[in-house]
Amino acid sequence: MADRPSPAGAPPRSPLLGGTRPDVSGGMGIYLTAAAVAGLMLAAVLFFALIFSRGAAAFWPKPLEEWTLDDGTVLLVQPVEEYDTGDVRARTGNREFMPGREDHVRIPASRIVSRRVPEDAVWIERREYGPFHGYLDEVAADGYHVRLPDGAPEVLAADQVLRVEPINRFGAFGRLGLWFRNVFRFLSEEPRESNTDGGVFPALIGTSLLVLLMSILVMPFGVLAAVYLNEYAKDTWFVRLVRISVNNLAGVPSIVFGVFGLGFFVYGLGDFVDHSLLGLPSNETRFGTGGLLWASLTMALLTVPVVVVATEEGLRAVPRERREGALALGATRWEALRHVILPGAKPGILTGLILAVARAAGEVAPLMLTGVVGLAPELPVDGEFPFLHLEKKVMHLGFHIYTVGFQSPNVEAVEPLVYATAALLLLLILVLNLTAIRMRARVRRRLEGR
Amino acid sequence: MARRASDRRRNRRDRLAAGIVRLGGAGVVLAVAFLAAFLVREALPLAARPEIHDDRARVAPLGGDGLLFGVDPFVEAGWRLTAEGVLVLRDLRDGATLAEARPFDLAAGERLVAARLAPSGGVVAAATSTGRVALAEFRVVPEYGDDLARTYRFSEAKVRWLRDEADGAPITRLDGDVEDDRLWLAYAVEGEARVHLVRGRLKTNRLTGAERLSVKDLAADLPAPAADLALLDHGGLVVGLSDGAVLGFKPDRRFRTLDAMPTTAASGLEPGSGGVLAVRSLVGRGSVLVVRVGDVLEHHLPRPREDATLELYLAHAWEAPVRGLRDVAVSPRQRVFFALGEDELRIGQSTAGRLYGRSPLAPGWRGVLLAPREDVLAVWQGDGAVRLEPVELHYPGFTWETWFTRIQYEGLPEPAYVWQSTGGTESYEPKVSLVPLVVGTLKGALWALLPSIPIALLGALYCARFLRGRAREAVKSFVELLAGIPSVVLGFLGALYLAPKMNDRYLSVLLLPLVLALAALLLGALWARLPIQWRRRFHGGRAAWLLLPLFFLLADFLLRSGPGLEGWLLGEPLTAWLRDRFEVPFEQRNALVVGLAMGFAVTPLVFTLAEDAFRNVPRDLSEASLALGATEWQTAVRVVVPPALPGVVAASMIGLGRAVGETMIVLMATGNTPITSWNPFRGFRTLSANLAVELPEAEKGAGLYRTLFLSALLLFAMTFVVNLAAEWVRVRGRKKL
Repeated sequence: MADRPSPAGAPPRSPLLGGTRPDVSGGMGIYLTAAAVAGLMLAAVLFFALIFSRGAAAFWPKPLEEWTLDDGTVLLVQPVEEYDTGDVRARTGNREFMPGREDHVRIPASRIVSRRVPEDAVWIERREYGPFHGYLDEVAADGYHVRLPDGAPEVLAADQVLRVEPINRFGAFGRLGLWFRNVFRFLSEEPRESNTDGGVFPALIGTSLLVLLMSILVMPFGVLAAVYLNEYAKDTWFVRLVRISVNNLAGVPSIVFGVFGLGFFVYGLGDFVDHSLLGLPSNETRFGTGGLLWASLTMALLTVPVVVVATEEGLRAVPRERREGALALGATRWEALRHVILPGAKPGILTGLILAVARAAGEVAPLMLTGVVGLAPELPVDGEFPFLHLEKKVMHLGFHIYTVGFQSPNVEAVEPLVYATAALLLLLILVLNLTAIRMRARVRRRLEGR
Repeated sequence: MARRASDRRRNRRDRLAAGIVRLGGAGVVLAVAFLAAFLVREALPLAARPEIHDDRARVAPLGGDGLLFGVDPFVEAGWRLTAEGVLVLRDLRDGATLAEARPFDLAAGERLVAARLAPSGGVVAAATSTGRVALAEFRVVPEYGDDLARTYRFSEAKVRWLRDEADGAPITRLDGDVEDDRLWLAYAVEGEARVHLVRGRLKTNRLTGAERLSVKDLAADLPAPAADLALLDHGGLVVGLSDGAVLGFKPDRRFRTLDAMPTTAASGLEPGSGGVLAVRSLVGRGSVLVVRVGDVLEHHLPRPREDATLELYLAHAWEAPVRGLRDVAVSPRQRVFFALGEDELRIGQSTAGRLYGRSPLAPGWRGVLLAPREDVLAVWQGDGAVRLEPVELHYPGFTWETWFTRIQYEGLPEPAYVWQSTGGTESYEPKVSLVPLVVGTLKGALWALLPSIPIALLGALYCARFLRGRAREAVKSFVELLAGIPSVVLGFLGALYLAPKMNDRYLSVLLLPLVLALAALLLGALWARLPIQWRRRFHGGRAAWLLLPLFFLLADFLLRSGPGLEGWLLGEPLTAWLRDRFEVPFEQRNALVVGLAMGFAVTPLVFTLAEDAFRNVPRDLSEASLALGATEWQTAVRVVVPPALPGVVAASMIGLGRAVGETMIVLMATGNTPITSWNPFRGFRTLSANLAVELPEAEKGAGLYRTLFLSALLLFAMTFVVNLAAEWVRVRGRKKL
């Protein structure tokens, strides 16, 4: 790739030093390596742009267009996508009134005879059958009197209707307001219609509880191990073994932790708790199936190396003088650790915690074996003693993406929802990681400035 | 005094803290060791061999003789069928007679001369002295008394006569079974060189509920009288002759003729020449065992040929499995059999082709049968009593042969590596080859590393050598951020966005890296020829920012024109062209899609580690090189890369470990079909995705469950070795420096 080296005594005249021969292969080399960085950055930027734009677009209230087709059919649709083949795909709503009971159509654009945006069209969010597109006449005691796009009257039961939004009347600010309302509903509502509609509130709660419980379990253990490695250990075969173990724990595939969690925690410990401690009859299980506790324990095991590595870095950043100063003043090792070293290492420990949380929030494979489900009937926290139910199955944002995206009968209808969930999860993890990276940079600066 | 007490307390606390901290350190080692040990513990029972606990056997009276016997699932009641056509049910706990039934209303003086129990139990084919043959379906059902004591009775037997001609034909060889609404019977008349296949079809009148049976009898000539025969599924049958020939037959589709199957054998095997003593089908009736004179046991199975006809294939043969081999007994649930000799028996398994340890057998036994729950072997002794021997089969169908070698499964055209752990029926033959999964794992990793390793290493070199100050920190942080992207998001994007989008622009996707690299090289060559002032202004550190918009435009153009390009060059999409021209099969969710998605997950990891390795090269080296007049590029390639090489190799290996273990991306972005194919346009199933798919459904403690733990152990071992090797390479490299 590069030029042959010149014979000794006659160094090549570098073009950087104002030589005459241009270093072509050097330039090509630098640009090739630069291409790798540029390619990776481009891919990453496109990736983020795709996820976030589609995730945000999922809440954007598109105007309802009235399409009259060549066979006289009248539809009120929100256009979704145009294809190279000349087809258009649009969301029609009104699932139960559509032929084939689908709320999407894909037709050649040439079939559309006329398009217009009727001012008085409304978008109604309903408990079942997805949104309704049509016109609202009046709200009476027996429900909402509406007209379908083609004018046929219908009555929607009042308890089915969640909200009515006259989308086409909204200006830009009205739309933005609706966008925020939609986001808020997405975050605060339970899923409906077997996860194909509604929000992700239980998944948010489940993820948070899982991560919280995991942090409580992993932090003492991880910090202790790091303190051992950095403060107490001398360079013996055992310390090398601990180090190798930490590295290997970091390299073990996450699904293997899931297998271990299922076999040991769920089937092993869970069975023991159920039948030996609680004395349940043999055909009943409470802890013997996947649940919050087992999933958290599994994740705690998985995130140990993350905490150890970050904490160690934090410990190393504590200047030697402070350590030795404390000991010289007569503190025991424990006192030095407790009052000088650990406080100094706090940023590192916090970095570890954040990284562990980010890892656990994004991990799915081990969770699907140990207690995360696509649709949990109830939250693991409620008003009933003991308020936090460790044996209950929980929902999880990452697993939500998997189940909704891959186990729904109507992939087209849920796609925006999946993008929205993915964007939410990604945002969460990016914020966590960004915080951790910035904190770590601070730790490293201290380390280097020592 | 007080001071010393407080010192003592402080010291105690110090020691306690030190202890706890050490415990924390040891805890990590313990965790890893325990994890591995637990996986081993769960997988280890697979190595256990079947055992018969002859020492814990008990003898129960069955009372007298008969043609057949059987036991209920709890082995608390046993029945026998006498020559008079009486079914006698006895309590095996106290010997009391519980019931007697006469399901075959025989004519006066008519007796049963032969009977055979179907391998799955519950169906008895019986021939009478007048030449009539019936299939009887009955079960032994438990009844609970007021004190919850279990007692037993016969369910009402359904008896259907499939040969109702009382012509006195002596029928002693027969086999029959029920398949949904079809009844099958194969029989041979003593002394005749012919075999008969009878099909009965049941039609139930929906209004009256009355059953109508239509019977059709086909016959085929044999070179010699049949010594024994057994039914296969869907009306196939295998006949063994006294001259040693073993023949397969199959009715044609319209049930007009009974056609002979050609016979073949596995390489290195030849059918024995000894006369046939017994032919028995294994459960599911997908294969048969043949017992020959001279202590030879053979396993034959019909397998489809290219023209969709069947051939009878000799899969395994054992010489002298036991002393004085007479017969075989088969398990009602899996492909396990018992080779029965004069005074000993041996357990075998047909899928793996394995024989296990011997066990004594009372000489003069009448029959041997494995209880429905496979926990007791019942031996009907000459004195009319049954000896009940506890059995632990363990996992005879799960051996290293079934995991790692080609197996001739029932119904498949040739020996193959197949993973298909469960099937539609209870008597399904599990296919648990780990080879397709290991191949899938390596294939996924390969296609992920192919794009990501060059990008990561080149990028890391650029970041470490040519980027300066804040730009470098920004790029590094950005890449670290990328490393945190959850794989479920990548998997979902691969499956629902990349796969359909790439469908008609594979050519562009494959060309893209080449085009971009060429553009970069061209630009680099141009840059090198710029006057020095310009080169200073656009120094190497700015190259990436210069390339970014160019790449965006190029990629956008190339990908947009993808379908058109393929149409113009090939006349059809690349994938269709490959299929039409070279018969390369194509699946939308394939290795290339996974390679891109997983590559995006692996690249940041390798990038970060490799960058560290490049940056850890002492600055004295590179500065000395520059000072001596080497160019930046010469310094990077010849001075910085060689000492960083161990670290770079270690980084790549850690990337490999990550790719091998990645679950969600492959789970979502491939079809998860466990095929053994390196074709990048097809999907695959990895060890990790297989665990995610199958473990939640696997019955705890069953063979499949333990096999999955074994595969988890395999995955653990693979990554463990890779990580350990990476560590070793890295440490050695550091020592050298």
